[in-house]
Parts: sequence; structure tokens; C-alpha cells
Amino acid sequence: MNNKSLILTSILASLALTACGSSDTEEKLNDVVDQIEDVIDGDEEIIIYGPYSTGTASIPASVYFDLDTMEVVTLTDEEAKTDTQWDIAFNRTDIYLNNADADAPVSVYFTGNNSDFFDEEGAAIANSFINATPETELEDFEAVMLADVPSDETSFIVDENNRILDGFYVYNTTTHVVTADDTHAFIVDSDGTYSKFRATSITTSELDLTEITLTYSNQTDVDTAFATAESDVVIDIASACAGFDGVYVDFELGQVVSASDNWDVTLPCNEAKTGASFEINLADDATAMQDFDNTYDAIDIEALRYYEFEENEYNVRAFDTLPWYQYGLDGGHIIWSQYGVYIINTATASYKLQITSYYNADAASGNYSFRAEALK
Amino acid sequence: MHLYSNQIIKILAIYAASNLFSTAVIAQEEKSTTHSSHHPAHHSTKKKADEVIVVTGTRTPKLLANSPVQVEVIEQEQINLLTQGTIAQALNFIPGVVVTRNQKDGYNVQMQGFDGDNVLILLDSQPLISPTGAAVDLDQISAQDIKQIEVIRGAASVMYGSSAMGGVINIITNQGKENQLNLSYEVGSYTQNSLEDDLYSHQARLGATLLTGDWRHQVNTLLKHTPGFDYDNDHSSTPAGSLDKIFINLASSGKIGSLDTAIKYQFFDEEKDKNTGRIAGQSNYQHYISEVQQQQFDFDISQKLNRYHDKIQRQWQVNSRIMEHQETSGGTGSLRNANFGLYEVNGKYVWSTTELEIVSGGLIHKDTLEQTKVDDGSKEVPFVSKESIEAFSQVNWINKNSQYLLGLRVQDDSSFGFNSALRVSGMNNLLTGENKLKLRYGVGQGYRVPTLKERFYEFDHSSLGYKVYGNEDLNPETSITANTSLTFETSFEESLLGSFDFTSDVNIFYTQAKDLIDSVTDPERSIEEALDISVYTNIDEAILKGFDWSVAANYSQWQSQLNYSYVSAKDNNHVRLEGRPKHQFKASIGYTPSKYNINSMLYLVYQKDEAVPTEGFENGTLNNSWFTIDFKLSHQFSKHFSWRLTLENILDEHQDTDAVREQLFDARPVSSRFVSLGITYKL
Repeated sequence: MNNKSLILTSILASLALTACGSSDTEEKLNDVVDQIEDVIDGDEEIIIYGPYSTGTASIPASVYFDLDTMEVVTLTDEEAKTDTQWDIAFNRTDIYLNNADADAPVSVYFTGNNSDFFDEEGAAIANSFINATPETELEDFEAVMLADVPSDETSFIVDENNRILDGFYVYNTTTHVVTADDTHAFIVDSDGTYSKFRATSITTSELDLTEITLTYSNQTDVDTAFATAESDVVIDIASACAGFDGVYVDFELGQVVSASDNWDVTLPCNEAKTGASFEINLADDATAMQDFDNTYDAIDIEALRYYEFEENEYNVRAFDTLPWYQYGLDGGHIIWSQYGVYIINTATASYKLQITSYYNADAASGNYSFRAEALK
Repeated sequence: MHLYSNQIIKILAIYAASNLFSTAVIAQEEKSTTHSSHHPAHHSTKKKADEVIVVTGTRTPKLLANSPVQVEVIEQEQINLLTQGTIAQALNFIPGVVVTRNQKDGYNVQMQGFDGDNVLILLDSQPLISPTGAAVDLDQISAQDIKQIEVIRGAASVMYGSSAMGGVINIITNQGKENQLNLSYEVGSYTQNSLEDDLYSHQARLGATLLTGDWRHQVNTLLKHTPGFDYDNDHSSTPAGSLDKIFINLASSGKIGSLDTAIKYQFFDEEKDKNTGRIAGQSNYQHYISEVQQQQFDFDISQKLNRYHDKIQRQWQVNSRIMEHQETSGGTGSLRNANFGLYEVNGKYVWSTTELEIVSGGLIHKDTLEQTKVDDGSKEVPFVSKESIEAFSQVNWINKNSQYLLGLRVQDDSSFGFNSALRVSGMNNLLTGENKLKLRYGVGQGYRVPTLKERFYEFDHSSLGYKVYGNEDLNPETSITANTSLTFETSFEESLLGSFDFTSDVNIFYTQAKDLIDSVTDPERSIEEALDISVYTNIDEAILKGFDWSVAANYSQWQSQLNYSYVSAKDNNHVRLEGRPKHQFKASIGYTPSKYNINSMLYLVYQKDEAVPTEGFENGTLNNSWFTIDFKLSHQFSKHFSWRLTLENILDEHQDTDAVREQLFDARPVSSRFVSLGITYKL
């Protein structure tokens, strides 16, 4: 049963009930007739869901929303990691898509509406954002139909869980040979030192790493740039793993150290303790960023906030690449929705979504309101 | 040689005076009248210097002319002409004082390159609560029943302690000398900028003094409603909102035995409400709201210990003040409650002869603050307090044509330990007699102890991606200032330009300030919390330098004054400090024909080249100079009645708020043309 049929059935049912027991039957009948006409004319109201609070400024909370039922799912953050009922979640300005089911993660595609909210150089036009309202942007939402869903699935993106130090080797699918990718540098922030390193040599044995050379340069807390001269740490993994769970490297010392030392990165040893798997992990108290274009010869401490340092495993949110808002356009601390219309694919259906506000009626921030509807 | 220099000075004076457009007009006017009565509203500057008593420079009464510290004074009649509401409008008249509108729609001042945090505002020589950082809101001080406002430009921490790095403004209240009752009512309008549903301002004042034996009782009340104004027909965001104020001041003073005592109580209530735009994505409007209640209780005692024919004069005085300020303010959705407390007992002892004066004193001071978010009850500032014990002493050597001052202050703060300030200054009469030339000079230290907010604040806007933290490790701001002024006074009788008094005053200052406090981004904490974190921090040095130059020509019924101020304020990276205008020009013409019982004044303020903030105006500058013209007139038309006319900002010079919203800098004030008419009954 499609939505229109469902609504008509509901209205007729309520009509019957109303006619049976009410004294102002005529008035109510007229209302019902109006509703029926709206449905027939396609004028049924498009619902704005919310506002849903993502907590207070000091205590944030996540809102998990199920697009199938158009309802909030009450879950703890821990439960949400494995729950597959919710589709989209909100926490402050961040939006998450469910990827608990690795085979069918929720994905999103941006329709590209309101591109005229930006000038030719890509800068936001303040008045376009400020003057936009849910009413003026309704047309954009209504215009997106099932036919607009791209057939190319690669147009959709998902939230991904990545490891920040992935990408240090290249696997040749033809020769099945693994080599070091010495163009992919990583910058590690650990124990007050920034270390820029790359793998420059790899030796393998079957499915394990047995030797690796990490070439690095450090920027200590008294430096303003990485050392111009690079150094090597040559690690005989096969030897280092003997009797240990991992091989631990401290770039400040430029050597392999023990697990109890202030190590920066580690390579996990295999069960036989004869080599390491093809991954490098960060220490829990360290962060790192990828510098695959070799852009940085220094870390500007004053601008640290604006580098993309991440923990060992991090979530790459699809909505981070599809910004839904602009901030501070009028010089104040206000978040303005771009009223972008997004198509969201779940395992069972396609939906359109348009965020209309980050505020409730009392102007408290962190309160999401949005339009959402199954595409038909 | 002396005569020769007199001639040069006179010629220079005439040249300067001849540049005053008004003067030529005045001269013709003066020739046509033989009237020479003195009107109190506009003391000639020369007479003013010889008759007005000031207390702020040395904390002892001094004739303005003999004050070794240069003091600017606005007297009661002039204040009454300039404003019937708060003192914010009156201070804009003072040369070298920059009045700025703050983010809470209140008013602060800048002096000698320092912002309001470093200009100390006193009421009867005692401090006030500063709800905006360390700056007192001038719009929360009633102008009713003020005897005079005294202004010292430059470091005055020796006598007044923390925050007096840029200067001191001391508001001296009146002590009525006769039974009197006055009632007044004023109605006003922002003319074409008025809001349709709230067209008029209303203001009612009642003042009464009752003398009973040795006691004096005073009551003053002011009720004021000011509507908002807007520059377009869309009132979703108005530059100014509605403002309601109530001031109730009660005071009794008299003798208990040989003690002079005074008890004062002040109540202040204020409500502001302003539309700040439609809530993003919602159909209703965001408001800025502020509700303030403030109470103040003063108890003062003093005693003169002089005996008849004593050559030594002695006097002691103890003042106490309890002040509490509750405020709920902020945007709807992010309101906060703030409770401020100020408690102080201070005393001084004056010992003087005709050649030597020693002022010594001390005080115990306590500040408290608690700030709570309304929506979730979280603390932006937990209940915190700080106490200080301070002692000061100043020696004034007085010779016939010179005076020298040496002062020292020591402060022991509960959080920052000892701070001290030293000041050496002097005054020399280089010329006396018909032509007077005074040289004043001094070098002094200043300091400002960080406020409780700067130390304990936690402003959490994590939902918008940022936080601001206080910093318990802040150091006090310090400064050292050198300044000198040269004041020339003379009188011209039957000259080409008529008979008038002429005054010229040049004041030069140079300040080196250290550890100025500002909120700056903390990159480490930003990473830790994944937010933009700003922390109050001591920043580097700043050099503040400049000069003020004033000339005044005063006839019996006409008065004119010109002032130019230049300020250069830069940090040690040669970056200008935000918000300071480099050039300021003020001019006024007063006309006070006493036979018509009229006081009137036309004055203009011109400012140019304000340092543009580095953030928030990425799209450039729309306007960086402006001037306003105000006209005030009062006329006493019967024994008991007078009326007054106010025309403020006649040219309707104001900020383009749409442009500012688009991040274009516009230095013009948030202001509007304002016209008001008032009537006063005085018994």
C-alpha cells in the first residue's frame, strides 16, 4: 500500500468514526473532505521532523533516527555501534550514517541544489543563507523524485572506519608483490614531537612483513620545522617479533623500543612471532595525519587545530565531505543550513532529506529539524 | 624678554582663536552687548579654573587651577544640559574621551589608547561593579543630581589602584544646600528610525532635598523608557532594542557629634529586549535580553581635626560600599545569570600645611562572581571571590609657583600577591598674572589585576564549535606612562575679536604596557577538545602614545572649544590594537544669554581611522570616519518652569548594519537621530 492510499484509508476511517459520535459532525466532515482533496491534489503537508536535541553545550548527546519509521531510536552510543535499525544520527554539527552492516551500509548522495548559495570562487553568499527559510526551500525538496536517484552506486558515499597509517605499501595485483609506497608520508604527533615518516623498503615472506625501513625526520618542541636530513629505522621484524606481540618504534630515539617505553607506532606480530601483519598502528596517546602529497615541511603549532590529525582508527563521515551548513556568516555565532537535499539509500529504500534548522523555537542550538520522505 | 614672549603667545593665541568659525560670529555679537553677567552653565575656563574645586587629582580638595594633576571637569549645569538620562551622553563631550557602544548595548570609554577595562569609573571616589569584563557600563549610571564629573587622563593607579592605567572618571554626587523639589518629564523620538509599535521615549524624574537641622535628606528617581530603532522596515533584527530603566537614589547626611556622616542607597533596574534576527530555520525571532537589578549601599564618615588658627590641617575619612548586581542576559536560548558583588571599606588621612600635604590611606576590597547558564544550570563561573588589601600615600610639596607629588601604592591581592605603583609628578607656573602658563608632567606606573571572569570563565558553545576559558595563571597587566601638559590662559579685553578668555592646552602621553589580557586561540586545547578553544592570556607589550590639543575662547555669553586627539596604539608586532580611532576631533559652541535664561550648546564629534578588527570583517571596510552633531537647549521661562530641547545625531549618522552583517567594517556608531522635548518644574 502506497502512502497516498494509506492516508486516504485513514481519513475515511476517521470520517466514519466522526460521523457516528460527534455533535459538530458537519464541520468535521468538511475538514476531512478538505484533507481528502489535499491528498488527491498532492497537497499533503510535508512533515518537518524535530527539533531533536543533541544535548546541551556541555553534555552532548546523539540522536539516532530510523528513516523507515521516521522515528527516533533510543540507543546508547555503544549499542548504536552494532545496531542496524537506525539510519542517520546527529551529534552537534556532525551527521553519521549507519555502517554497522558492512555489506549494506547506509549511503548518501547530494543532489547539488542551492549551488547558487556560493559565488564563483566557492565562497558562501551570506544573504542567500540568511534569507533562506524552510518555506522558500520546500520546492527544492519536493522536486527530488525517485527518478533522481543515480543508478551509479559509486555516486553514493558511506561512513568509513579507517586506520590513519594505512597506505604505507602498494600491492601489485598482477605480480602479487608488496612494495613500500615511499610517496605516502605520515606525520605522527606523539610525546611532544612531530615525526614525519614513510616506509621506504619492505621485505615480505608469504603473508607477513619481515623487514621494513621507516625513513623519518622529527620536529621537536623547540623546532619550527622537520629536520631537513632524514634518518632511517631499519627493523628486522622477524627478529624483533621473537617472543613479543608487537614491534614498537620510537621516532624520537630513532629505534625499536619495548612495549613499556614511550613508543609512537607499532607493528603487530603474527601468531608464530616470525613477522608482522601489513598494518602499522599508533600509540593510544598519539595522533597522526596523512601527507601523501608531501605538502608539509613543518607543523605550525599555532594552527594545530586545523590539521587533520586523527587517532589510530577514525571515522570518516560522508557528511563531512558534503557540508550541510555554514557558520558565522553574519559575524555572529550562528549555523545556517544550506537546505541541501540529500538522497539516502538504506538497505530497503531510498529517502530524501533536507535539514531545515539547527535550533529550536527558543533559539537553543544543537536541535535538528529536517524534512525526510521515502522517494516515490 | 618676558614681554616679548607674552606678545608671541598672544599672537599665537589670536591666530588659533581666529580659526574658530564661531569666534568671529561671537565677536560681532559681543560688540553689540554690554552684558557681562556670569552664567553657571558655562563658566569661562579661566574663571572655572579659579573657582571650581576638584578632588580626584590628589584625593584632596584643590582649586582646578592649583591641581598639580590635570583634571577635566564637567559641572552640574553643563551635565544637565548634555543629558537628563545617564552619563554616557555627557562623557562624549569631554576632549580625548572616546565613548563606545559595547556588545551588550551599554557604553564604555577609551582614554589615551586604553579601552574601558583600563579606565576606572568611580562614583564618589569609590569603584563600581563592571558587568562588561572590567569596564563599567556608563549607561547604568544616572546623571541625576551629579555635582560634577572629573576626568584624569593617564595612569592613576597610585591613588586609585587597579584598572586606572588609562585614567579615572570620578562622578561626584551633589549635596543639596537648600530645600527643593523638582519634577521633570521628557518625551522623545528616533524620528524616521522609530519602530511603528513603540514610537516615543518617555522619561520622568523626581528630585527632592529636605533639610532638617543638621541633616540633609535627598531622594532622586528616574524612570526611563527608550524604544528601539531600526534603519529599515524589516524589524527582524534591530540595531537597538527597547530599554527600560529605573533609578532610585536615597541619601541622608549630617553630623553626629563632630562626625560628618552620610548614608546612601541606590537601586537600579534595567530591562533590554532586542530582536537579533530570525532564528535560522525557524519562523520566530531571536532576542537579546538583559534584565539587571543592582543595589548599592554607602556609609561614609569623616572628621576635621582642625583647631582655630592651627597651621596644620588634619582630616580623616572612612567610606564603605556594598554593591550587588544580578543580571540575566544573553540571546534567547543561551541566557545566563550573573551575580556580582563588590564590598569595600576605605579610609584616608590628610595632613597638610600651606607647604606640604600628605595623604595616606588604605582599603579592604572584595569582589565576588557567579555565573550560571539558565538552560542547564551549568556554571560558566563557579562562585568565586578575590580580596585585596591596599595602602597608599602621596606627598605634595607646595611652593608659590610649583608643586611636586610623590606617590606610592601597594596592593596585596589574594590571588596575585603584591603589586605596587609609583608616580612622580609636578606642576610649574611658567607664567603668572594676566597670562598664565602651567607645565604639568609626570611618570607613573599602572596596573590591572585580572578580573574573576578572566580567571574562572568557562563559556561553553561546544554545540557551535567553540569554547572560551578563563585562565587562573594570568598575571596582572602593568604599564608605565609619561605625560606632560602645557596649559595657557589669558584674557583679551576690547580686542578686535572682542573681550574673551582664551585657553590652550596640549597634553602628550607615552605608555608602555605589558601583559595586556586578551582571549587567544589555544591550539593544544583545541586539539584536545576538538573545538576552537580560546583562553584568556597575557599577550605581549603594547605602546600607546599620542596627544590632545584643546583651545577654548569664552565670552560672557558665547563659549567655543576645539579639541583634537591623536592616538597610536600598537602591540610589539606593530599591529594596531583593535577599536581605537587614531584621530578624534571635537568642537562645541555654547550660547547662554542670561537675560533670556537660555543655555544652549551645539557640539560635534568627528572620529577617523579606527583600527579594524582582524576577524569578522573579511570583506573589507565600508566606512572608517564619521561625525555627529548634537544640539541641546534649555530655557527657564518662569520662576518654576523650564523646558528643554534635545537634538542628538542631527545628521542621523549611523552604521550600515546590513553591510556589517556582510562582514564589511563600518566604524560609525549604532545610533539614530533623536529629538526630545522636556519640561521641568522646580520648587
